[in-house]
Amino acid sequence: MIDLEIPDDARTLLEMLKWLGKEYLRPLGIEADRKKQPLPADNPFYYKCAELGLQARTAIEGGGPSKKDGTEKKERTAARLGVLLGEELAYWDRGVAVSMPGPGLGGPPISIMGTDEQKKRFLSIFQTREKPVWGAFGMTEAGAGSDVARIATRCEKHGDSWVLNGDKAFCSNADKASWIVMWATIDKALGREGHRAFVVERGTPGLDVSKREHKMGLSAYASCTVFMDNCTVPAGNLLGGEEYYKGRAGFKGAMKSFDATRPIIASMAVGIGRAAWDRMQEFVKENYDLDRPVPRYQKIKEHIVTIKRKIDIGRLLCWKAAWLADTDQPNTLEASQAKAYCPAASLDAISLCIDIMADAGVRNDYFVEKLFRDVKAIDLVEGTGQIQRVVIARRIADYPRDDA
Amino acid sequence: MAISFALSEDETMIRNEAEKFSKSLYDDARKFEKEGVPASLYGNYKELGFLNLDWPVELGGQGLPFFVKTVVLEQLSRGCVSTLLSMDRAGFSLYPLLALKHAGAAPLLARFKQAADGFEPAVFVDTDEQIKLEKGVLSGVIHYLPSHKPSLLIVLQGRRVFCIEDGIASTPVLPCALHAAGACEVKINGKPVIVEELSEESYRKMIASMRLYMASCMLGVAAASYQYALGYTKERITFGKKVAHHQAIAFILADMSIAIEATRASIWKGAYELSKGDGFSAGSQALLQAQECSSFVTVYGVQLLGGHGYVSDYPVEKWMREARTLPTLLGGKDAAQLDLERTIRDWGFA
Repeated sequence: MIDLEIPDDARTLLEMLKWLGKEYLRPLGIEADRKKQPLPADNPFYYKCAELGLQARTAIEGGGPSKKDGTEKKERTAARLGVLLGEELAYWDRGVAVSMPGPGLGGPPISIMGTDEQKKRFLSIFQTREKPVWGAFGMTEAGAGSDVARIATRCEKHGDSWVLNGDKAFCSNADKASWIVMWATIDKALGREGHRAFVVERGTPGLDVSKREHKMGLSAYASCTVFMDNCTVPAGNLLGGEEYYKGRAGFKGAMKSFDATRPIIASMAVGIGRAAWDRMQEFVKENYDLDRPVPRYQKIKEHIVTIKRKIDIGRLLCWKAAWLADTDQPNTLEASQAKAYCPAASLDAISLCIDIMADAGVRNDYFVEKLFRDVKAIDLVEGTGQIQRVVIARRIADYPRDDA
Repeated sequence: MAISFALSEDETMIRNEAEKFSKSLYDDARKFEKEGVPASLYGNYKELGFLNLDWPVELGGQGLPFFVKTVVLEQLSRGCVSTLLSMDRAGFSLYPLLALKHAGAAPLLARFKQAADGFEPAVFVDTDEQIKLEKGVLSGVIHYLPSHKPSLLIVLQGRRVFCIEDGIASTPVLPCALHAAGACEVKINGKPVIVEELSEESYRKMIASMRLYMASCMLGVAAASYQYALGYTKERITFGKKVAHHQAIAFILADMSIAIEATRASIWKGAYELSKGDGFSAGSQALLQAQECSSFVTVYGVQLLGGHGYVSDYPVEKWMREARTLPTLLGGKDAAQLDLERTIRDWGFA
């Protein structure tokens, strides 16, 4: 029979996150939202994260595939732990969670595509407990969001270096990052085959990370527009080395890392939904006596049942996709199902929380409207809901690729 | 790590057996709908061990967790849910009887063990209290029951259970679907053999099993419709490409697959919670989910086949009718919804 028991070691970690969340994530997230300013890199919270070894943990559990050298007897748990922690972090504040030190979305491509030397060079920096360290990921451009094959950032080889030119959009934490995994093309006409991934280090001449977007929610981390003007990167920073890019491996590398991260992103929507549930519950207890025969209360009870169902089921879809990943079963379909379902379901759930709280629901200091703004982003990042459906259709119905 | 969605080897074997049997049901579904279920099939069903999977060992059952039953029910409902309901009459009716403490339950249960010919138990959930007990006599009308001629009728009114054998007169009616299971109107006028108020705990366990049962049936019907529509749209060409490769259609198929995955997860969770002690809330939730899923999926199952979907040469219209009929049993989704609304206190709203 299936098992839905959260194991003890995960519980211990969740307890720690709960403390961290109450103490730091929630208040910092609310503060950032009111100021519409991301947290600065010297915020004491980030030093706390480093001290606790959290950035090292995310570097190790970047979501890469397991080693199949036969020495690994114990079942892997990284993906399941990922969705459990993802939900808990987002429950407290998804914006602050994204801003936390660690390799971020740049971790998986390095662990999947990188050479041993690169893994060591770029991931070992997160082992320190002295100071916070960030990584970042640059794929999206203003003119290429869902259709990543259209990226226009160019890379040209000049002797022992690569020269990058172009702009990246929505590059999370680029302002604080020690390096950014940057995607560029050797020739736009080649589509995905022309893609190359580079680790561009902070301070590289021609790299400018100073511009940031003003977003509807999730203010705690900076979404930067990154400009590269003759940004010159050593050849040794081409992820995986030149050999890696025979055929379509480059793009596949990026896609594979999405299989690992999609369930985690989906679980964050579940966490935001649960935060709204808790706040709504508190409000209901303070303001309504559901036993009184007020006609609208019947509707409220109905909403409560629906909200719980949406959140509960979303969580199960994340867990299933993560369990498949941990047990080395294909999970592209299930990861996309979770990613398609959870953000929309949580948005519906949060919206119903606002209905229940009525006019109070939209007050900023009552918190739920912030979650409503925050959660919308989850249906946009790492493949919109529509892109997830395209991915699903490819799996179930051999939906064709345009470039096939 | 404990979180796992794996079936054990035994569970996989039972599921595969059910899948095989389900295919034979599918082949003859239309015939069974017209002519009824042949007696030999009941024997097969019993022999394959599906009837008593989760029955207690004392009753001659295999004592397996209810979870296994949900897996089997999904598979068999893909073949023909109305044939399943007919074959598993005793299986379904057992849950309320197991909840009873009444001394009269034992002889009734003994009959389940034999499950002899002519023994036709049926359950009716009377949410609106249309059946009345006055001066020891139970009376009222049930407009539709998926049964030919019930020989034992179990009426549930909230936590109250009535079992009645004499004084139930049935007349055939024609329902929207589930014809192989039989269909009758029942007039009740007689003395019940058992009247009992269940404890809250027994009630919750019974209702959880019954709702998860029905949810699994709905899931099977939805999954059948989805699979068929998927196969059809992957074959048929319109405007120079496969129907499934038009994005408007591809997205519907994707949403169907999500709804089914979500529903299965919800049912499995309910069965898991039931095995841990209380599946009431998760089981009721699963029923609501299954109802939403099966109505969405089966209606689109017809839609994706276009005109073909509407005619009985194709199976999808049957599944659409079934998905509309199943949720009217057991007090419908309203009963599950209201039960959950009463549970809100347990969720911390009081």
